Amino acid sequence: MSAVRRTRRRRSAGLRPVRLTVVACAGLLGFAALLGRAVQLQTLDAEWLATRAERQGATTLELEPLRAELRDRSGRPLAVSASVESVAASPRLIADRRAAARALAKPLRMPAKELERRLAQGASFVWLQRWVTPAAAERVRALELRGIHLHSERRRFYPNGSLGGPLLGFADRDGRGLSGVELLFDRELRGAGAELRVNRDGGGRVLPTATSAPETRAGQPITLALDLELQHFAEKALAESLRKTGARHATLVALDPRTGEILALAESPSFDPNRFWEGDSAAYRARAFVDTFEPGSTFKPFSIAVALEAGVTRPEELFDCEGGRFRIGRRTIRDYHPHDLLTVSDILRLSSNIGTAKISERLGARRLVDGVRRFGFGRSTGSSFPGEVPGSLREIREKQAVERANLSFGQGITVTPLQLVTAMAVFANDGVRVTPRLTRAAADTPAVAGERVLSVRTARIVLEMMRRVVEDGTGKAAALPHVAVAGKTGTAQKVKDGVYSQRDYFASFVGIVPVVNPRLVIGVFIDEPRGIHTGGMVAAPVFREVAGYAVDRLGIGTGVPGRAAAAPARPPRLETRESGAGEGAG
Amino acid sequence: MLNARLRKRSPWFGALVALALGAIAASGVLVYVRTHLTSMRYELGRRVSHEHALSREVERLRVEAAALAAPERIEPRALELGLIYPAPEQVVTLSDSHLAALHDVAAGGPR
Repeated sequence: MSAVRRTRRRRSAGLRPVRLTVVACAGLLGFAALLGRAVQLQTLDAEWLATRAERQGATTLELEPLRAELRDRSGRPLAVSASVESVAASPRLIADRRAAARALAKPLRMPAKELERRLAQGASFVWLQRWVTPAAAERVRALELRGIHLHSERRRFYPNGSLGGPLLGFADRDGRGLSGVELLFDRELRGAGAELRVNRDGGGRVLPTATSAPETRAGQPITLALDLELQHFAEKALAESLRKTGARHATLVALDPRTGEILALAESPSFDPNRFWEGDSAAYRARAFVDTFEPGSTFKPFSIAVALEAGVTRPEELFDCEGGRFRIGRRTIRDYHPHDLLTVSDILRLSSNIGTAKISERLGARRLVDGVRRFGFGRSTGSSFPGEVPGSLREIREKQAVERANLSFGQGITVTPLQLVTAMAVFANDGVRVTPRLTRAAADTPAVAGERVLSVRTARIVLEMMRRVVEDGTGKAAALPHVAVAGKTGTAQKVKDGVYSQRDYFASFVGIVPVVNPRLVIGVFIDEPRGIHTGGMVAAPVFREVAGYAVDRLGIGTGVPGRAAAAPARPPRLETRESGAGEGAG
Repeated sequence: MLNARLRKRSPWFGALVALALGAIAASGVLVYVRTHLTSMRYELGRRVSHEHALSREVERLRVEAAALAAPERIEPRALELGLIYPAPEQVVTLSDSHLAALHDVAAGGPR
């Protein structure tokens, strides 16, 4: 037995190395095959495989910088951008569309039938709701519905609602400025985007790439000259005026005559750019730039200034105002109140059409047209606002006496509210015309840099005449208790169907405050007031209210910077009833 | 005993085994490194997503803060508290001379 075992063990021992060698060789061959395959995949086929993988998993991400902020002069946001989520669906991937619609109806606050209708389209992609609230997005995400996606998008927010709506304009769902300041500064606000190629895994998750993300250029915030508080106050005053007068529309422009900065530009009614798609497109219009009107008597200071500058008359010279009726050619000119002899100064104070027409007769048509053109009438103000119109100022021949007379008291010419306010600033600036600007002027901007239109002497004479308009003329309702105001009223008949309407008026008042060292020019324009319709009764009180607030806010007359210029910004100063002198106290 | 016999009978056997072990080790390291890299990419992706979420939250809070500071929201509350805008008559404008006189008073009277 033992001999047999020994023989078997010897045979077995002889076979083992052979088996092991065979197994080891097989293993090595296997490894070699695997290594060979790995080498093939990693080197020989690498390029082809990478291309294939890129086709399957690579995607391009568009890196779009957030649209930059619009700010008021104190740095408070007027328009800001933020990422929000939108809900979309791939209807083809949804097995039970009715159930999905029912589940989504509550978080999206939409009727289930409407959602079902959208899902029934059978398209590969359909928006269910854009710009949902974070809470709604979270609820939709929690549903984990197949075929329902949340997409991150950018949205423009206007935190002050309709405040300054027509001026700011709006940016659309794709972040493009479509009107107003948003359109004017679109390129600066948008910045520049970039594209990044990334890979996604099987679950659709983006995997960071080895290459660093390309640089995007952030948009540049724009600081407007607008004062948020003054704008708010002005809009409130206009809305109240609209309520009282039943007018169709009202506009207010407040301008710093030294720099041309537009401190407030209010429209009533306004529109909320947060919901631009719901508004009437007519409400988008910033009428101060794009609507024209016949200025009427607010134009008289310009005619008289041109005559004084030309030396054809003097402030104390008397003119016969013909008892309120004066015939030129086939047309009879009338005054609202009849007058006989009036000085040039009183012609402006009492707003005599006949007196102004007689002064223009001395001047002649050519000099009158050339003179008023220098104030900026008949051309754009240079504000660069999109769609700004130049108004119209026609050439008049010397023989056209009626047209010349009409022009002298603001008929036969059309202007924009901003044009009129900018022109009025010439008197506040000792004869220099500044270009109105929407953005805040830099600290080193020289005060009053512009084109000289009048001599200092003429500008001051007309300013003094306009002070008398407010002190004891048609503009008494614009007077402030502690600060001298200069201004001019206007009540123009509107042209309807080619004739001057006896029912529809355009009431206006443009004032300068204070008379010494003027800091503010404010124009109030009220379109078609019902009942009482004169500029002195309808527009001047609004001026008084807004200018009174601005005197406090801007520190006018104190010799110290106003609160509006101070940073950081503070809310409007409000006094308690107890601490004030009582309403209506003088 | 056996190894000695194998080495004796097949001198390449040892080298082959060493090579195989080396290849296995190298493959193991390679697998570990690649797996680790992949998990790091996922971790990086998670961090990037977290950062984006935080940025979105900051953006949302900025919008909210701006809306809360809007005059249209603050004014009604101030009026409820009995605050009013001063009427033009209630605003007294101090001239430079008034201010100088006030400074003198504050400094203990004119010198």
